[in-house]
Amino acid sequence: MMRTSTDQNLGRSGLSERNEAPPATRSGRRARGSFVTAILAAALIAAVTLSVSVGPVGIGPAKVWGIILHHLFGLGDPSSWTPVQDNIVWDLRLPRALLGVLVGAGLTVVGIVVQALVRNPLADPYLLGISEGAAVGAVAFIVWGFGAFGVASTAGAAFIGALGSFILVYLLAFRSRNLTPLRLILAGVAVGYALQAIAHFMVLQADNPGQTNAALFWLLGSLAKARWSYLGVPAAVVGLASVLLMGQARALNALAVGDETAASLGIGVERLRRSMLALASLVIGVVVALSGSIGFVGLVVPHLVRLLVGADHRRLLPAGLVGGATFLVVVDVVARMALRPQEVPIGIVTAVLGAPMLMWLMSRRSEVG
Amino acid sequence: MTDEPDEGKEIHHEGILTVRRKTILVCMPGLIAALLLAACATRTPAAGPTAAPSPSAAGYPVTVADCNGINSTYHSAPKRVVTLAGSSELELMYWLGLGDRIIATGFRPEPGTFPPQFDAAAQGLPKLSGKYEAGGSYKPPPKEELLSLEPDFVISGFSSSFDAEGAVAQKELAEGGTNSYLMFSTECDSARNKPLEDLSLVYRDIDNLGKIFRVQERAAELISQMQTKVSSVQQRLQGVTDRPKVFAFEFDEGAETPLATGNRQTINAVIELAGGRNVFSDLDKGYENVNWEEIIKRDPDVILIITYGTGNDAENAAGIEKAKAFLSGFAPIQNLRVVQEQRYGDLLYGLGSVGGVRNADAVETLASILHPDLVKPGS
Repeated sequence: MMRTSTDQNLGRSGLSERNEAPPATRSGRRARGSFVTAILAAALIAAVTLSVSVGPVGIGPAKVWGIILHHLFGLGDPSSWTPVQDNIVWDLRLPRALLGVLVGAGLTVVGIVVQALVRNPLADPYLLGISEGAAVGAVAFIVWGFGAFGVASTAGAAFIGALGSFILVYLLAFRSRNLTPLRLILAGVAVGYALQAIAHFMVLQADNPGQTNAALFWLLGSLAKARWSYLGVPAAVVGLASVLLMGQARALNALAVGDETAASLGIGVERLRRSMLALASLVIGVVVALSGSIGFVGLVVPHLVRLLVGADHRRLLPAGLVGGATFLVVVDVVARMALRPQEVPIGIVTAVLGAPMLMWLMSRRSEVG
Repeated sequence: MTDEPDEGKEIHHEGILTVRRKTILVCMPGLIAALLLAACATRTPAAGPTAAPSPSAAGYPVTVADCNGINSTYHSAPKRVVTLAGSSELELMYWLGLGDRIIATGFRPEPGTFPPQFDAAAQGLPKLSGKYEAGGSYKPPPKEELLSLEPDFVISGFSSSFDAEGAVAQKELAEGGTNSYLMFSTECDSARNKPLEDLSLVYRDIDNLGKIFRVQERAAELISQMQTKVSSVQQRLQGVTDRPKVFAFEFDEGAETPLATGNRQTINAVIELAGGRNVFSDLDKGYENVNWEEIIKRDPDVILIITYGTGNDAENAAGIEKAKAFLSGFAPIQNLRVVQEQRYGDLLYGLGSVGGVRNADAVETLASILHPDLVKPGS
């Protein structure tokens, strides 16, 4: 599988080959991790099926899969469904489910990585002010309608904003020789608050209620903008970054214990932290640009998955990838259907569903974190 | 009727005394004008008509209830009017020929959104320093700024003009002797407890303002003109059983997750009267953000593109073309009949989406779009 090949890459780059988890229950845990990941993968397929099967227009699952298989492989008889049903499944529901997969997976993987990098269980993907930067870009585009650097969409503007905030945090924290987690957190928080203030100020400057609504809808986060043409870039970025991050799983294990431990194992702590944060920021920039800042997923799903498979990043990252995707796809189904025809902002549903899940798992397992 | 004088109320003498004292303080700079004092000293419901300190003009006093159920008694026609929202209530003032009574407006309408004959005057009004903010909430004009103008009548279409944090509440105005009126036809919750299917709320506002300003003839004329237009459309549509399903698409509010206009929106009444059916007539709300699938499911016969407009015909046309280009290029709806046949109409927001005199024109225009063989535009 993917994991073995990246382990080999890792071995060649010599970053962390000597770090091993405690040997006592290793094989047992590994088996459990693979088992949970397999279950989560099955759950993800079920969640995507559910997501494309439910909606205001009733279309049976057989017909739904007929439409999808027909588009993918030319199978099936298109005359057994109407062109409108085809549009609904192929142009509305499936891109939306897939965007949910990408956003959920991206947020969770990055959440896991950032929590390890700064050794703080309260860290989340938005720690570095990336989402606030994206918000500034998006709101500026919505309110003033200008395209900085020729961008022609809210998503493009959001990504440029995310990039800008990353550079700011970099200037504040990364230039120091000694990049401690605390310094990183403080830089991220400072930049995040400053940019949030700017975004709010710009919303206040919006004259027309339409702009204000658009800006607020964006700030709350939504998967409603999913279209096929928007999915290519995030798919490539989330996929590639996940492979690269999983390749550093052993190094993350060492880093989670402590900088000294990692250094004693021959890991270039500073270089690793910088490169992984850059990668994480890239993923978050792309994800937030399309979905707005959907909260809670990147903070809580990592803990949920950790309770299921343990803290070893070699199991945690793949399980998080699949688990985060599943979680967000299910949450989006609830957001769409709970108060039909109203769409509930997805960030509200993530918290409503995620918090009880976390508490339930915590009460079942004593070893948290 | 709701606008009958409320004579059943007990009069508390102490209450009147306190009220008078406050009134005089507030009105101190205006004491020179006896008429102004008369207007200032009015207060309801504690002070009934009998509390009038000076002889009333002919036809007064008159008591009128507003959307919040506040009964205000008028002893003469208001002369210093502030329109707090600067939208529907301001337009109605102009329709009634009362533009010269307005001393300030909370907001000016977007240039070109008012009927051309009123636009220049509206743009020239002194503006108070309030501001609309995120989420449709709003920062009202500072209390002192409003009170220092010594208005004798404050009117708005939106309850937030009186309820918002920092706004001067209607009760507070009444205690200072200033009458206020929250319109029924714009967004009045108490009047929207059932689907809007006619223009009766607009008629009620016109009628009430006619009484308050003693311009009943003009009010009656406006109402009868509107009713004539609407009933002429109704006559032509008599026997029509095919009521096209209309999706009112407020393009300026965002196209990705479109706004559905429910049955508590003025456009619902306009569509009904124009011989159509709102695809979201089952939605007991003003507005709702929905998924496009809801629109596909409801399979509209006509998409009515609603834009705010700028007063510039070329810009308006460009805005409508932009909406049409979106509809024709948006993959998920390409197989809808309404898109394939391009059955689109367009209407300015100010005409059909907010209660007012022009709603009757909107009914005519929309009827000519929905039933072109029966109703000709402008007929």
